[in-house]
Amino acid sequence: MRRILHIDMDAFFASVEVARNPALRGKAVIIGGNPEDRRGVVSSASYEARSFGVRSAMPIVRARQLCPHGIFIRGSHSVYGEVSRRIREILHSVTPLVQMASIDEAHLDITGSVHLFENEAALAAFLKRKIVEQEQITATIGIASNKMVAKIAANQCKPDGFLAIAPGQEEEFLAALSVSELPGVGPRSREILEMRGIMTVRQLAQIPESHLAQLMGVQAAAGLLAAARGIASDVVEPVRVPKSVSKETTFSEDLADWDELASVLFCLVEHCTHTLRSEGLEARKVSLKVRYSDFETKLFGLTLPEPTCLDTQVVDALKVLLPKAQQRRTRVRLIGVSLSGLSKDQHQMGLFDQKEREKWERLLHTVDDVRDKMGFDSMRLGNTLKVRKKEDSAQD
Amino acid sequence: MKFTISKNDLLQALNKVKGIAPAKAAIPVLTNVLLEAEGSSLKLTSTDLKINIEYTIDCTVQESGATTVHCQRIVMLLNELPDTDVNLSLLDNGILELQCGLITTKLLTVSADEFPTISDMSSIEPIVFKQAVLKKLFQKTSYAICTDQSRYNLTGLLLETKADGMRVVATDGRRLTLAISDEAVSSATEMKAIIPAKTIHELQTHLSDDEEKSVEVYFSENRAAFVFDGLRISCALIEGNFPNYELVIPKKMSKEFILELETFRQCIRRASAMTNDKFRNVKFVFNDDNMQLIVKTPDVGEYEESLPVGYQGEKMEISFNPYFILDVLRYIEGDQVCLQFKDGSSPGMIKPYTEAPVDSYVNVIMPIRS
Repeated sequence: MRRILHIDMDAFFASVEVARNPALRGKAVIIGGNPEDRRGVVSSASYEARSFGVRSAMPIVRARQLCPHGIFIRGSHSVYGEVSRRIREILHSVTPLVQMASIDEAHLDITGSVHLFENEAALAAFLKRKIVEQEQITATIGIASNKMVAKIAANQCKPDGFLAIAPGQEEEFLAALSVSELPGVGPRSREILEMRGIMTVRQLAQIPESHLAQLMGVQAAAGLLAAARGIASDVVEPVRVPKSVSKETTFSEDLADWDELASVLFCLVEHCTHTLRSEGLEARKVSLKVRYSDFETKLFGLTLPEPTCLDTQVVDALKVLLPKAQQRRTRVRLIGVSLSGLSKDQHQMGLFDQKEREKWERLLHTVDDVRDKMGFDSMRLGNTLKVRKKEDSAQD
Repeated sequence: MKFTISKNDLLQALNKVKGIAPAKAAIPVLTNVLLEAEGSSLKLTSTDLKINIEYTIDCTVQESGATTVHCQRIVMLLNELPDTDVNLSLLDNGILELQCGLITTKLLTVSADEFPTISDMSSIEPIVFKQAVLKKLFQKTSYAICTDQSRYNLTGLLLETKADGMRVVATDGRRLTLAISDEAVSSATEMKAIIPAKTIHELQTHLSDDEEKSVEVYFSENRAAFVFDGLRISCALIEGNFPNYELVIPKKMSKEFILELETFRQCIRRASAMTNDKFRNVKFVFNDDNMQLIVKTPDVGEYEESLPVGYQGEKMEISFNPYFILDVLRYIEGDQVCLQFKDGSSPGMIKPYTEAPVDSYVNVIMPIRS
């Protein structure tokens, strides 16, 4: 039986802002969107703001109504990314088996390292203390025999909490909880279940699978019942290579000018390749996604001879794909790029074009460094400059 | 057209040319084999428009002429006929009648006029190579030919004569192999050509290992023809420039290791068994007398092995695709292999080793930066 630790930073973005500016401590801090803008959603809110009913993913306008005295901050993701990286290092001091689930969540397989501490609680306390000392941020930790139960345990004791579920106690622990605590139960599924009087995980676990399959579909039913019994994966994958890196944008008005569309597309490429490089990834496949004004969505793909993380090579591939998309003479509602076939930290060097390639890589890494310090828009590809304003508003 | 030939001779001849005739083609006549009877011989020709193979055998010609017949069909038929002479005659209505004892078969044909004409290069002065030497050079190098058609100029073997003899080079942009032989050609004729991979594979199956046999090679501006043992294999050359391979073969290598070929091969096989198609990566760590091989493949597991190599010097790490190494080791002769490196981000070199590193067979592999 493995022991999995789930750690979740409390109100991560808001906490980082408070740590950066102690004057904010104890105040209702709300991160997300553009404060002047009426659009955008809350990406994080401090617990003080949450007490007014502000939640993540809530429109900023609504948050303003609920919490007019709140301090609204647009947020800087590069800073959060940097803090997240430093926290990852703290986690690595306990075990190499660390799987970052998102910027502020991670799973750790502590089966082998718990012996280095007095017990699980001591290990959890060590991590929490380290993070507070170094980053002035609190975290919540759940420990169980698999990733799902560990995460649910952490969810039950937020903020700054700790909860360990002893082996064999998973089903009992879940039984009393609401069905909506299980992964895969969103508002819609919850409604379906509650309409039939299934409020708790205990009730869910007692339903015959065939009955549940009629309600939810065969696959979902099997997944839900396994979850209700506390059965889930306990495999922590330290180097998780994402399936794809993609970015798309919907225009406020449908566009017909393909020069302009191409410029917007290359803007999106810049963001994707920046992500590739910062994660040490390279992509082999380039896909162009176009949604026309009649909502028909088409994908055009191309496999590159060599994996790449260079803007120029992705742009070249898209220049081959764009004429194909252009064959439909319809206005375009959405355009996007997706880079897939990803490999991590393994670049097969070439014999002939290595120098040229390295020159580009050095240049782009320098650009990335400048962007980390001065903001992403401080440096752009020449042919994306003219769409800067439009694209930026589309990004939000 | 009318001729008599032993069934086995005809079948054997067809087997030599049938590999090129496509099973389906936009131009239907390409699926046929051209039969031309004249004098006392029969010439069989097949083509896919890129490569042509012609084979000439003796037979008794009663009436000269030519026609084309579906290649796979006639091979299938001959396979099932008794071992005796067959009579083939082209009837006036364009039907090829094939008689074998009491069996009569009538095959539909397409006129020989519709078959593409094969350019004649007999006016060119041929270069004479030894078959066995040429075959060996092809075998040693063809593994590295690029299969990616977008890098068209690399999809063949470079044949070049220089002061040190005949050079054969292949590369796919990540690895390069060079084999040199001074026995391949007698005359010091200047030549340089890129032969397409498919022609090379076809040549490898037909060239003989007999040291005494020779092959005449005709080079024109844009075509090459190889004539040997009754066969004539011709093809269009790959146009475009082959990259300057001499620039990427490292001259000075500071670290050299001599290993038992079989031991090293087994190591790399073990290591490659622990990689998958998403992660083909073996790390070599040279430190403290040892060469350590490390594989850490997500979703698969880990592998570690140490070989004592008597290394003294700073710790060095370099990673390679193990399959690139295995490809090379397959063609290295002798009991020992020589590995040469400069540093962790420069190409590695693999050569055979006898008394000293053999410079007539050089393999360069680019590392993986991890």
